[in-house]
Amino acid sequence: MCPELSVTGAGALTCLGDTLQTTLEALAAGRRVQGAPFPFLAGTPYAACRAAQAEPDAAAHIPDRRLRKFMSRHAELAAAAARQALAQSSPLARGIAPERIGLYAGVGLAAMEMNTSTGFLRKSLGEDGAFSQKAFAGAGLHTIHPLWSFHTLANMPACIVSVLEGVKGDNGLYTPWEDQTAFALIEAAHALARGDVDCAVVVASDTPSHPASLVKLVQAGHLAPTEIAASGAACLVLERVEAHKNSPRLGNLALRLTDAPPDDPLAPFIGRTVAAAPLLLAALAASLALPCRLTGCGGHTFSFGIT
Amino acid sequence: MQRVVITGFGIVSPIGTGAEAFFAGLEAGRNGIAPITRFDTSGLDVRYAGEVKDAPILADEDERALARRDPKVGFALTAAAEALTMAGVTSFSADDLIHIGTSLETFFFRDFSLSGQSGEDALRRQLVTHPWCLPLDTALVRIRKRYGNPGQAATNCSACAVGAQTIGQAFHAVRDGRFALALAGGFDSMINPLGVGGFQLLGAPATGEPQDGAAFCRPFDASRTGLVLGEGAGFVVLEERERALAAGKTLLAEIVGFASTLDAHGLSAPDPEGDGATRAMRGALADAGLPPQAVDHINTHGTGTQLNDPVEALAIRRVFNASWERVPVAAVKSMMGHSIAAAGAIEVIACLYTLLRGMIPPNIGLDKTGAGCELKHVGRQAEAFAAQCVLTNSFGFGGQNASLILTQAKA
Repeated sequence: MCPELSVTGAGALTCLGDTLQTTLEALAAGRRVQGAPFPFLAGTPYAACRAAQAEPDAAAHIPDRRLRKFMSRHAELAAAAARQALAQSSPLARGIAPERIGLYAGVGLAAMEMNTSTGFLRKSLGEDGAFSQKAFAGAGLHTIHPLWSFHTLANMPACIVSVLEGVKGDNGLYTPWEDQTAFALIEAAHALARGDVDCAVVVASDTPSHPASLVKLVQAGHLAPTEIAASGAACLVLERVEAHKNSPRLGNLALRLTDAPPDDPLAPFIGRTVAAAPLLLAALAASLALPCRLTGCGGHTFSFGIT
Repeated sequence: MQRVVITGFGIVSPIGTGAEAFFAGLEAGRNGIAPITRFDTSGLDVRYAGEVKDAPILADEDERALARRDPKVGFALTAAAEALTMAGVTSFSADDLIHIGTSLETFFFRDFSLSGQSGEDALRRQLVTHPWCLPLDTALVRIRKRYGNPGQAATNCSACAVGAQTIGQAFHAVRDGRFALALAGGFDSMINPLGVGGFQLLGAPATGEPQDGAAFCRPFDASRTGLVLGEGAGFVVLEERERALAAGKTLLAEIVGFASTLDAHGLSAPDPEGDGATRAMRGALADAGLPPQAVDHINTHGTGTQLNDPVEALAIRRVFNASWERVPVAAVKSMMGHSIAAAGAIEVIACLYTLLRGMIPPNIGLDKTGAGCELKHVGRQAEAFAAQCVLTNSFGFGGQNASLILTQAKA
């Protein structure tokens, strides 16, 4: 069992909105994710698994243009969600030292950009049409951006949040499914309980609508051909309840491990956001300030309630 | 709070697979870095790495097929089996935790062929029928298939800090009483065309050839030219001390302190003042309730890059103040290269070598200490040293830092 925590900030980006508020307004208006043809996967069972809505506009939340060249879509989404949540919580302005703020993250499958993947592959094939080390070294490798590693390493989204927001404390990053984001939440809760940190930023982002990710999700049993994959990100700022008894907070978060079957109740509305889903559930519940209980996240189930 | 001991470990490394071979490799100062043989490096600037030469020890053809596609999965299964066998663990229960980590998916290209087909259709078909890579939790899934489901399981992706971080977080989980036993560690291999090519693009690895038979990876040396990729896996089994004693298990070492920090400085270079590294070491000491003077030996992150080594040395001098001149430091990447997510865990096992065998492994790449790298470096031969308490550092690309402290396990 994890200790109960106060939620002092929440942020989210979904296919329905670039913030928690706009996502909630879209949901209230009855909008929901729609599937779109996926030209690259035409003729396969996965052709219409992608959200038709435009990708969330994360860049507007990231003023540091210098860092954006290091950022994958995962990282942009995580950074934008963290910016929203930390602006609401303002732990640094409230005197919490950066060294006392921890960062815990759930990160989805790595997704090479489609243009990068196909361009790189075409240039890496020899005359016989097969992968050629000579062609790779002589041409294919040079189609890849020098900062490709920053776009691909799974720890980069959280490291970028750390740099952008000045978060310097304890940390833990987990991948690639929903249950690992749940693990990030649990680790954050225990770090707060132990006193390792006074504030925990928990962030998750995923871009499952990338074709390679989408196929992997289906093959791993994490996405049915009838479901729609959509990008998303969320962030919660958590603190110990006793530190916030008399100050503003969105609600209290209680984590409980359960044996309930996996479930993603928001999927019909905002699409399957996979690694981002648990935090999106929590962020939306927290921002509604309504009691609710949401159950099930991937292979290891647990429940959490906002009260 | 529970006391936490190590009751088993498993190791796959470029200088030996299995406890005895690894310890022998450390003692001999074996150089595991050589020209890459796994693929043709023609046209690449990076041609040397620390490759694992031993075949993985796997249970069935399914596992062998996975390991052929993604060698790090084979390393993980081999190391996990050794660690669990040593600890006498045959299956997991709800009281147990698996917390392991790795860094980056391996992208497969050998399968790709557009022979006789139009490009776009063939690419699409192969994307669907031959996924480009395995999810990073593949090893975790296979370990659970072999040994059953624990209470919780995690795949950590904290890059070069993974190995130490998984062990440290598992240590906290057992110490807090959340779990009675944990399998923790890291595994990795980036010795594939895109892994090596990607690092080459960053300009981080050493290029060219070793000079006059000298070691290619040269942590803290004046002539260091960059990191050398390695690969492998290191896993440990952590248990509540009293439970392990009651079960009659051999206590290999005790873990007493851990901390992880973030630089929040930059993505491609460490904080030049070593603030994050300093806080990680001080945090681990505080977690252990020990003064710096209690530490007898430090296993450094020591990558052999121009930027990282002096920053780590500065941080060590700052933390240990006047006592740094008496604390011998090792840099085992000189023998194995940097196995990224596996490195921290492999180096915890190098610390076990020091605690169990009374020896400090050599830095075979050190001839002349570089400017700013001043520490009490161990030379090119392993040294006898009866350490009671050791500290190990792992610092990650992107600014993640982790420090762990281990002591002799006294019954």
